[in-house]
Amino acid sequence: MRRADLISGALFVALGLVTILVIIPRYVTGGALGANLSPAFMPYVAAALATGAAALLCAGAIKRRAGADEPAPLPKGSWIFVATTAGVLAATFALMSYLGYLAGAAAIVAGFMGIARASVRVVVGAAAAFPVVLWLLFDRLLGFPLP
Amino acid sequence: MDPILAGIAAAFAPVNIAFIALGVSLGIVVGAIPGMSAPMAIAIGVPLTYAMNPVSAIAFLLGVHKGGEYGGAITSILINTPGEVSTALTALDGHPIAQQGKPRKALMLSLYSSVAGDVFADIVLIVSAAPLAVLALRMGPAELLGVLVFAFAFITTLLGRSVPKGAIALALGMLLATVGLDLETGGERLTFGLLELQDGIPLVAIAIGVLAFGEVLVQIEGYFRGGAAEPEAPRIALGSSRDDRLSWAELRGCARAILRGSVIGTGVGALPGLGASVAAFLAYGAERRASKTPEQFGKGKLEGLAAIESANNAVIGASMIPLLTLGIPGSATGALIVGAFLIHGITPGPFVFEESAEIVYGLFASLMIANLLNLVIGNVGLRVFTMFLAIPRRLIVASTAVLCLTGAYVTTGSMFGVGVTLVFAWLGYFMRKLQFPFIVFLIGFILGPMFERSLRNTAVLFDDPVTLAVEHPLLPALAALGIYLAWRGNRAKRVSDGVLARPDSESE
Repeated sequence: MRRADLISGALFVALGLVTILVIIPRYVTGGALGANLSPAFMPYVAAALATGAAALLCAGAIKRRAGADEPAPLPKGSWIFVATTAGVLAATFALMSYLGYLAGAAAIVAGFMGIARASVRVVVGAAAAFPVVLWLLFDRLLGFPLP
Repeated sequence: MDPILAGIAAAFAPVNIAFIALGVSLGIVVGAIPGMSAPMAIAIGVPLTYAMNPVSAIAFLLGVHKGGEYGGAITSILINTPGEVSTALTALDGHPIAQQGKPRKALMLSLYSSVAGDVFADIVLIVSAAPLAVLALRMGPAELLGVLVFAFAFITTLLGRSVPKGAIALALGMLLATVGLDLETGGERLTFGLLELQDGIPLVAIAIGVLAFGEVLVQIEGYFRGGAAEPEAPRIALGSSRDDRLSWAELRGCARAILRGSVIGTGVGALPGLGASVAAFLAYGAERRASKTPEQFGKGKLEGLAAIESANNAVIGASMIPLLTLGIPGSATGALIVGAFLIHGITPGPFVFEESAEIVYGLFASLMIANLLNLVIGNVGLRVFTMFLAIPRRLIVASTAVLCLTGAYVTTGSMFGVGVTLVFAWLGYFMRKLQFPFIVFLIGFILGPMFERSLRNTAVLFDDPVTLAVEHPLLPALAALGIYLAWRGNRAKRVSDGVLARPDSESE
């Protein structure tokens, strides 16, 4: 966790500085028309707090003993999972946007059941049945139009 | 009509009772599914409330919460697989009782203790909320600012293992809450030219992503890496022998434990940030210290189970005290309930007693109805609810993912909401992995606008900080107390992490 704290702390310091120096000046508009505080005030306060706390996180991680570390919170296997799952979720979003709810919902059920190493029969059954049940419940019964 | 009577009449409308019954049943079912928890059930349930009136919507969600706590006890007692820290303690004595061939006794004691804790806390809420709101109404923007600084410091210190991580999560939530049009100047803030962001990032889509979908990703990863085999649930049959029934004498014997647990749960629940797990730990410890046979705790002690369950549930009603009187949610479920209030055009806080008195009193009556229904449904449907333990967890996790996306679409009416949920699901995943308190992030997002408003109003009223401190001493006092608590909390956490235990740092 020490290494993870160091990396995440450094990342937040960098993101905080980019937010303070680049993003807020460029993407917060509107002057202080009759206002006592500029619209940028609160974003600056929040970004400064995040940056300061991230610097403290880094400092704490540097100070901590290296030997008394815990197992890495994100081992190599996690990144393979992140990439695979991100692919499934991107496909789900695209299918739901262009083909509709049933296609997207079937994709995510099949994808997640596949990632979870379920048998093919269960994957197919769940991907076919569950989206239809939810579509009937929300779209037909409750009257919330789904894509 | 008097708002109290009108509220009570609205609560007793058949449709309202039906929605509460649905909420309680849904909560018990979801809570009884291993790996699912009450906040997840509420996150998924929020979109369903669009079809309801405000009283039914909030009562439905509180029904889900109350039912969810009891449902969690079913998994803990029967298969020793708790979904949350608070229900993990339930398994300590509940599971050994079930292993002794008395699962029904444990489940019934859990139900009665839960309902007793609920009723106690709800009565305290009903009696204290209105006077506290009157007190809160006397506060100006400076005092409210002080309360918020104190609450932020308290919550950041208590939730999560590290204060810097809590502060980062809080600041991130507050920063993202500024996205959209600034109501005072009309200026655009961090919208990056996207029309969808002008109204801000939708709260419910964020909550579904961080709370429910983030947990789904963590659980799916367990299967992906082969570390989470489908649990072989030991089938503990619900018997009908006399020994498996909870007798009056046994229930009477647990009365003190239930009362103690209810008082502790109510006290803890009224403070934002502590939550059900702290209440359960404190109640269990207090009961053990008060017992003449402390060595029997952890081996199937009825009093231990009763104390934990009453404390767990008492937190639900008590957590509504800061939420209704100050608009401050102290937990994940509180954050979601604030979201549901806002969906229905109600802003929780002291003004709610003036502006929406009928709804508030309807809600109070609905809480009592939910307690009664929890007792009846939990009792009658016990055998049915235990069947949900047999559903494969993989199926539940994948189905929850679809439910999350469906809820996000229903909430926002566009694929933008689905996209927001997916982005924040990854944020929830990484926050869990790196031990950042995602609940603090949500609380920062919800309370950020209130904090900014108080800050702006205070700045309008006072140019000089010295005058402000002299005329409103509560602001610096609360802010100083909050910062002191954060410092103490950080130090305590560093000690627990072994940092100060080093010989070379003993002087710190």
